Amino acid sequence: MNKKTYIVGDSMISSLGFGTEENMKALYAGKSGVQRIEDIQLYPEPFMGARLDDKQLNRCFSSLLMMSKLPQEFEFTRFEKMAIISMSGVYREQAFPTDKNTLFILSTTKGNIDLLQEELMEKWGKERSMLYKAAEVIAQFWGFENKARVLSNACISGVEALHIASKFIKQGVYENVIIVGADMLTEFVVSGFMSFQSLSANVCKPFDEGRDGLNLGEAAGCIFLSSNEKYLKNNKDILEVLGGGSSNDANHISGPSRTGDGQFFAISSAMKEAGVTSDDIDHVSAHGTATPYNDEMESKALNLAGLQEKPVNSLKAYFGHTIGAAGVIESIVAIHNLIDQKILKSLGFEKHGVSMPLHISQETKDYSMKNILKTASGFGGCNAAVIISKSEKV
Amino acid sequence: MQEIKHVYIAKSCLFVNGQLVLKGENSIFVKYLKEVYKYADIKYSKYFKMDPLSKLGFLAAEVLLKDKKCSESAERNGIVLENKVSTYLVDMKHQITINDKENYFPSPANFVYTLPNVMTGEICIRHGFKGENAVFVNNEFDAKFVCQYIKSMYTADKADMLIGGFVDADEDDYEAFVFFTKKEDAEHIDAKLIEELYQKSKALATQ
Repeated sequence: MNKKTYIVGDSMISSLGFGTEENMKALYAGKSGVQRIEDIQLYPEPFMGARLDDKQLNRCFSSLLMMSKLPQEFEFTRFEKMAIISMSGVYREQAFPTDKNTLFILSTTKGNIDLLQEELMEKWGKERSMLYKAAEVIAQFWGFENKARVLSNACISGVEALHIASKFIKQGVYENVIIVGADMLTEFVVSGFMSFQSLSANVCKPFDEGRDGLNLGEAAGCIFLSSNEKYLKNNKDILEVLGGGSSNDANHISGPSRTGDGQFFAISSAMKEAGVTSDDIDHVSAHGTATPYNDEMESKALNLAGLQEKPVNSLKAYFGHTIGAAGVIESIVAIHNLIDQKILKSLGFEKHGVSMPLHISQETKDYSMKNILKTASGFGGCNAAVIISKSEKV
Repeated sequence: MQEIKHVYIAKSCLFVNGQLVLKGENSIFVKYLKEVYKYADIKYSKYFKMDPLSKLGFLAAEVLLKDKKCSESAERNGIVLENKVSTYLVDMKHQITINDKENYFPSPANFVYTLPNVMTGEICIRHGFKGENAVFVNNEFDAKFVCQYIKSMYTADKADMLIGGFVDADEDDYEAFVFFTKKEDAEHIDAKLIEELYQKSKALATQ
């Protein structure tokens, strides 16, 4: 019994806009959401990051309150608002079910982490800062019958959620899975990455010779997956998750593998399940954080997988690295690149800067594609990959 | 059918397959972990750099895997753990270093442990597991969901061996429960049975 994992709908909010359409427009126009941020609430010194518009966030959220299954006076945190807004974008196009056949997975690393600040902790309490509690609140807003699940696997959380969800759907464990990837730009995270000295003082340059670190960002994205074809009636094309896999480098907790074999295992596991070879992959949406070691590792993994001639891009210079949300919003972009048959240039790239050959996409243009490989890697040595595919509606 | 090997650590007690094997002299969490480290009879210098959550998960996995044979193909060995408070202890430690803007001293060695999957990463490094790995955050151990995940990965032929369990370390309490599964025994993996094994160990520890 092998069902298909259809991608029914998606929505996202990021520094580039609210809603997938706004985001795609900004991406095709080559805009970056990464800016100089001077805000001592986030870091004592100015830094480069990608931030959501708070005014728009609150305006947008207040228009959704009437949809809430919780009492009207119930207060939501900023993180919960972000997640709920991204879900509402999907819900408006195609109401997703919340019954026993539906699983809600929240992909996040730090959730309501800002609540650890003394003054916020006083107001909200320790439990609300817990990831499971944030997921529970978001689930209660929509009235999900099943318990919400939180997948917290560093920067691969979003891609891995797509992989795990597609196994559940293919095997009929659940008919529908609603995935939300969300993480905030907080002082907690900025100060941590600063202590690692892994942030760039400029807009990051994935795979470039002069790359010198990443930019942090914040975003929330939602993808509605289902095996039920009835939800596809509004969709022009058929989009599916064909396969996925996750792996571990088993090498170092904060540094990527020197050989790329971990990432390669995830890619080959995804290709095997999808029943495709490297020839069938038309484009790779890489992790591409623009740190020296990550991009180097990816160039090796993509060569091991025989994908060095396929156009590759990284979206980190557009959105910044949005951690737990990255895999979800970057997969949403891949979905729309397939729908639009357009490929994006890898923003920030000028001169080849990794030791292995790669075909970095240098121009945003029309491009005929059927299968996109989306990859991710993260702290703890973890890697994940999924293959997103488009076919004509019959 | 073979017994499902399982290890439980809580309240200064270490249980293997429901049998108490080490009763702690010390009720303080990190001090008790030192006793478990000695019991495990290993020399592993990386252990001393780990945060308490990773130490707990690491030691539980160490005892679990002592006499177990994993797949020879590294990418066919994997792990799935649940956890309740994520990395709250190290999160607070990091938060304290940034509370005062005049005295700002975030530490990279601490920050790296502010992700719960670094614990699974440590276990993967130690045992050379290069396969599927996932951490779910849940307010309690949910045998049904963990078994759902494990069975699903075996059905999709993603692994030959998976460790499952729940590892959590909070301010005033800690608990680790891990169990060993193999693809060839996948049909015998029963959430009710796993739940019983967990509850039995838990009850013994609180006696």
